[in-house]
Amino acid sequence: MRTRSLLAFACAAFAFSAPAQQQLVCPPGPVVSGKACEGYHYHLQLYRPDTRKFAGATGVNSFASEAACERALDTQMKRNLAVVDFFKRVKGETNYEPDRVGPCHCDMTREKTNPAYLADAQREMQMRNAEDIRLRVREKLLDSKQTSDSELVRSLNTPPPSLPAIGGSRLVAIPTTTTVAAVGNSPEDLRSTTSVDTRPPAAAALDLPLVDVTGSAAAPQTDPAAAPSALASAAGEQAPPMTTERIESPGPDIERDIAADEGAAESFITYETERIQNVLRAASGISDGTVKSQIFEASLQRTQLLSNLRTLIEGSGARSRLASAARSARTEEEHLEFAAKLFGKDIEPHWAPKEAADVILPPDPDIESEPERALRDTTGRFNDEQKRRALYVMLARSQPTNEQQLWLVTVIDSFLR
Amino acid sequence: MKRLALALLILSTAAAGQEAPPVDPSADEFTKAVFFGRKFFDLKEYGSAYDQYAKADAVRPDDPGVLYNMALLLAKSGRYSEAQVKVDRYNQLHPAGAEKPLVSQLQLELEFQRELQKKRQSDQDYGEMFNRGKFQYGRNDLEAALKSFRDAEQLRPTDPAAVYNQAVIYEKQGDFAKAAERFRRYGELEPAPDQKSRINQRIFAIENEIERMRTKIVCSFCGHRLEASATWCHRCWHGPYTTTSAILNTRACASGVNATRTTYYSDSRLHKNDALQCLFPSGNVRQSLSYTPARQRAIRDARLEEGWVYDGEILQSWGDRQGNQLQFVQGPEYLEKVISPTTGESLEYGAHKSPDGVWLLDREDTIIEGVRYTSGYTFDEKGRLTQQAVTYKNTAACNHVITEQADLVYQNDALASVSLKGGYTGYPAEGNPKVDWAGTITYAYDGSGRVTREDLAITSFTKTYMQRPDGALRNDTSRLYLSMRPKRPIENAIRFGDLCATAGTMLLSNPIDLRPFYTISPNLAMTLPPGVVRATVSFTYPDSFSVR
Repeated sequence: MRTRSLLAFACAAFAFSAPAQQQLVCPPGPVVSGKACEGYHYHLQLYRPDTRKFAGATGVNSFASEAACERALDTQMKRNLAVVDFFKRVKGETNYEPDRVGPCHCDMTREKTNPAYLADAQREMQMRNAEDIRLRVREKLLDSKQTSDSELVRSLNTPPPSLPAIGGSRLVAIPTTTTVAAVGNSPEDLRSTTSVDTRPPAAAALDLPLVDVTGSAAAPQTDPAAAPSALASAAGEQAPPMTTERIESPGPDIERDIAADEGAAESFITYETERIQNVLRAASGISDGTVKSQIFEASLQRTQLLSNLRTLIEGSGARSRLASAARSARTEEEHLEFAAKLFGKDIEPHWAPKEAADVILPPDPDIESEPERALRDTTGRFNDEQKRRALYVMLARSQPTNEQQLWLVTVIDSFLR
Repeated sequence: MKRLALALLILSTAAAGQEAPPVDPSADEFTKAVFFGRKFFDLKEYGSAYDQYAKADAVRPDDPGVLYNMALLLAKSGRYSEAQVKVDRYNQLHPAGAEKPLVSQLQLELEFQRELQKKRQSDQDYGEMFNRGKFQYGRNDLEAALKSFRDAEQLRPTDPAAVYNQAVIYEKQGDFAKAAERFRRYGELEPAPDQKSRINQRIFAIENEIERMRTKIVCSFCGHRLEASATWCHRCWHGPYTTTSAILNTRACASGVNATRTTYYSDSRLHKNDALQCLFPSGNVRQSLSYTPARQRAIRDARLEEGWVYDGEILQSWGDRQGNQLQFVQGPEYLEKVISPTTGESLEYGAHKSPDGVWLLDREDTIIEGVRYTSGYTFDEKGRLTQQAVTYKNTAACNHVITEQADLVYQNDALASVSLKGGYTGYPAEGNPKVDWAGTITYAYDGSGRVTREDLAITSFTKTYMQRPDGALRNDTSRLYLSMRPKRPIENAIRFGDLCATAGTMLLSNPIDLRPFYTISPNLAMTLPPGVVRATVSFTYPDSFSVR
């Protein structure tokens, strides 16, 4: 486009002398350097047919972009050349001259310090002069039998192009909100309830043993004394009264029996399972449904934890630090000490609750949301106590995979050192 | 001898009895099944273990140890009701069996499992209620979602999530007062301190939003938040938004609010009646423009759909698929310029801030149907518009540079009248035509301060050619005005209007153009067709309608 207009410029202005050409661009001013050009224009030397003289017009057009200026210049040239062609070729007026048009350049007529500056009155005068010349060309065309609606006459007064988006009413209608209502929402905006248990049923967490069945034809008589005394305590007369919330520790009989048990996991887990059974018994006497539900929840989690702990103890090997610690936990105090080493000192009142409701752990959202992340944390964001709590949460609320089990044995080993 | 023989017989019989005792093949089978059952149990293969004990039970029914083991294995396999049957059988047959303590414990476990099942069922129902609520929310069925979470709260009043979700939905619905109340309740229920802190910040933000909704309006074009007393939006210069203006409130979209414009020729003949469309969809201007996040979002979405681009809350540019562009040159405080790189058009704005902090235009460029108008505004000390001066080159007709002016007069804070004038001087080649016109707009109000009538009258119109047009242009002019004489006003020019040229059989003219005066009145922002000199706009309202 620029090349084409420059060609047109070259054609139209071929007769210019050097000084005349200088007038077809604004002289550069000191303020131009370093400042973006805010508008572009082109200078015109309009041919006045009645006087056969040229009239300068430097302030009759202005464009926001050089490209738009180039397009307007191109259009102006074509229209003018069509008129010139009509007079020269059709009417034989060989001395009819085209307008002289300069190239598009930065408009300095609004820069007060520039020699090309135009005051409003000067600009208006140029504009009136240009319009008067346009009317004189129109007159000459009408006089040459061109009709007022002919292409040539109409082309003298073609309004510049305008972008519809730039105009329009200044007071626009407010859109209805229905378009917004049609858009869906992200369910992520909402919270999920944490009051429901989404874990799979922990059926395998039942930690009762099989009984030995004799192969003799006579009806087998299991020696009641062979059953763990824990079971005796569970049966009727030795069980804590169902109507109280007081929780007893499993008792010396169990301790003795468990001490005799060579299976490290079995002894510890059986003892602790009995403890949680006692909690459940005591909870059955609580009337507050919400508290009761929370106790059940906490007990279920403990059962899950014990089941997982059994797997870890068995999987860690008989000589592991974990198995040794579990094996050597014989008395109530040793059990609590072992639990504290694994799950932190704060666990004690909840591990061996005096009352059923004590089994409920206070919430710790940071850890509960991502216990594994807390356990794996190496940035120091979580201290050792928090990591132990995370171990409790992880074992109580999930079933670790084989890989996680290996890792957890290492973690527990470090806790027990 | 007989005695000896009998003794030998007895002994031999006894010896024979000791060497070949009676064989019970089922005992082996029983022992094997029990042994296998134990092995499978150790492998945690509870199903297989149960099958083995079931075999043992078939060999020796109702053995107490087998019954207990079967019950335990069924329980471990999650088959609790079957386990309960075995426990019941045990209790019935062996009430004092050696396994009784274990059976009692197993019974306890089974009861626990029943309780657990109940709890899980309840959890499942509750979880489903939550999922349903989330699904409804996702589909934007906010009322249904709200009901789901209200129901959830009824079931578990202390679950913070149900209350939180209600708050989010109220917020989405734009009911910020209820949202704040629900978030406060959530704060009471939420045990985690960091969550409480976060929710307090959110409540604070909502309360700010409530305050903004009380005091702000939105620009109906770009959605920018404005002071309620703003006349224009200083980020796109759309308007006017004078919410207390009785004139703007004539175009409210309220039942019973009507605006009818009737135009007349100079000889009082009816030109036509126009029922003017309402402009403000939610009642009066204040109600329609009052800021709500939903309204702002709707406006913004409409503009985004059209290709506009925002930076935050401020319009920056526009573009279409054809490559057309508009750029908004946003100054630090208001929109300074709009440029179109495509057409080269440029609109400039100048403004100042009034004492009460709203932006008022000093200079404005507007383009109406391709013609560019430049307006200068003058305001009184109260920030009320007192004068508007307009200049434009009528490129749609004969390129005359036309000036118009409106002077506004107020009485008791209400616009009482507007004096209008306009005109131009043409070009020498066409005979230096000089056109001058004048007019007035007057307003009538009812006792409630509502406009009841708006009357426009063109009181004078003169056109005088100062000299004869040149050559062929003279013929052109004589087709426009047969009786044209230089330096003498055209007779009855008001009846013909301002004709300026011919284009074939068409006559080009400069109509009285009141469109740039859109700020003064949207009801009379029109061009007056040739010969039309009077317009009356009459308004009706329901009794309950108030402009404030």
